[in-house]
Amino acid sequence: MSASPRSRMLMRRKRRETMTAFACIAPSFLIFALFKYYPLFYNFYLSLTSWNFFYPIKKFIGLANYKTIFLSSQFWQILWQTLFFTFWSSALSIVIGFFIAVALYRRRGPLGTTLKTLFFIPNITTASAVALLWIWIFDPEGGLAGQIFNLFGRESPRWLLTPEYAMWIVISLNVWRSVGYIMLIYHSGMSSISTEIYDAASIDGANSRQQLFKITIPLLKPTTFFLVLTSFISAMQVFDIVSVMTGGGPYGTTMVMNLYIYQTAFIKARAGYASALSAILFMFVLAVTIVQRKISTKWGENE
Amino acid sequence: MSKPLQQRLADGLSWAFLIVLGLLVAAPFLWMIVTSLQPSIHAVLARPFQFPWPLAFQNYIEAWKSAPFGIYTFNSVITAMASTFLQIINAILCAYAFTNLKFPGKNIFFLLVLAVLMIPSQVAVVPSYAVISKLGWLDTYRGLIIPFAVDAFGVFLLRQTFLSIPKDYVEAAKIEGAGHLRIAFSILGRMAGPSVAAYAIMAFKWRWNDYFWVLIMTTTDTMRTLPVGVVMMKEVGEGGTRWHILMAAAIIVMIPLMLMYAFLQKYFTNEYLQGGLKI
Repeated sequence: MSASPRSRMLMRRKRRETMTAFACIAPSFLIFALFKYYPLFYNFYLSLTSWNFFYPIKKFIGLANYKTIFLSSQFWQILWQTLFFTFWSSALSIVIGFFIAVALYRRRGPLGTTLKTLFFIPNITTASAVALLWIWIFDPEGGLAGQIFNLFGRESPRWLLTPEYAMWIVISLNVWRSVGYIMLIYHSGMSSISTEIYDAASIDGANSRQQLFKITIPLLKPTTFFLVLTSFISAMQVFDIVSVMTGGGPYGTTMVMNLYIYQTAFIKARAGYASALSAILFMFVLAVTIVQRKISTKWGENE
Repeated sequence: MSKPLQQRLADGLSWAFLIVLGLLVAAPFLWMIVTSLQPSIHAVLARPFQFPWPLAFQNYIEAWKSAPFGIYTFNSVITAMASTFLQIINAILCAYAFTNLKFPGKNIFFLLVLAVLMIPSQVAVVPSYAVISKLGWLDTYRGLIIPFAVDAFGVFLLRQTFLSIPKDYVEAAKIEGAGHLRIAFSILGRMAGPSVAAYAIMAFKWRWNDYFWVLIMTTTDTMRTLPVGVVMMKEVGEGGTRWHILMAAAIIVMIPLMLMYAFLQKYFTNEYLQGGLKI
């Protein structure tokens, strides 16, 4: 092949561009490889072993970990509690966040702006620090909740030590931290609905409740869907607030998957077993993510 | 023109709803602030609803001194700033390569970024620990920074933003003899400024508030960051928790983000992150 000087120059330029591109992306992909791709595959491998962190040999035991997990009633209990937490904290924050968004939309004035800021601020708080605040609020001796009981001359329950209340208290913190974000996302969804639709509806005599249920809610369906799935994905992996507030107690009633994985791995040192639990949680979260991507691309095409 | 009665009623109801919820949301904050200013734990228990007087600002100093808060703060600032900075650099470099350079396997690499975005790999905590441990990065800044030196969301977001910038700017810069780095950072990076800023804040918030990773990857007090340190402070407390000091400490942990919010509010509003949210 006789390359002309010109084509050789083009070749060289092309090669140099390739080199530049790889230099740009190399650091990022090295990190992805080391801390994202590799741990994922390695996790599946470890889940098939009885590794305990200390012993150098990772004995291959096939699916034994999974078998033990699926046969343990504790696992099903924890899975159920994780889904309970996920469902209620997502549902409550989305419903409350939606109504805040509707009530606050287009309210300018000082009160409206102040409220908007107020609802959003919990979202930027540090989870572990506000978990301490929640322990203090529900402290039976001096906490806010207990003091309110005292005002009415009643004795305060021991909130976080009572199985019936503990999970709801954890949920309440998650809802408090999420409503502001939900409100914000709904606001940007609502600003894309054209006002003409509402004007037309008003002319036809639709009152504001009808407008809410016949226009706003149906048109915000993609936003709601996005929020349902992103809240599900993050709530299923909850760790900080449960770990700080209850450590899974009382009597394991607030134990959730990620905390269980952490304790199995780093307190009981059952690394193989913890990896199998991780793999199961991973499958759950991945399934939700895939559903989200599928449906949001479908809606994206329709728009 | 006066509004019809029904509409005014609805308006009043919606205000009432907002104010009641607003009070509910504000109550924990007020309770935290009031507690943090109480002169002693006895005062906290004896007169919970009374205005704390004299205001005990010294609680904040005592909180700061009662734990190695200086070290925690230093660690938090260093790790959060370094990872945010590196995330932006890497996001700009990757976004530039994906939008303005031709190279073999480009689509595959981009799919690999999307895979990171979709895959909940933070779940794989045991192997992550094994990797950090094998690298000898337990209890080091490297272990808290390098794994977060790049984030798939940032790469994706800036790629979308760079795609929306007209090619003419890049062409003009090339003619003037600008190199790759100049184009990536001074032209595209600057034009994507609002997105970069909004993303930087998101990244900083994420790293500042992180608890899980720090808890696992550090064991010595001198490597803890604020979110972990403040929890340790409660556990160390002997003879009952000194809630007034602990609440002051919790407020110290959150002040930097509150200040950022106060001054950079518009970048918290998400509109600049929209391109990345819808995939």
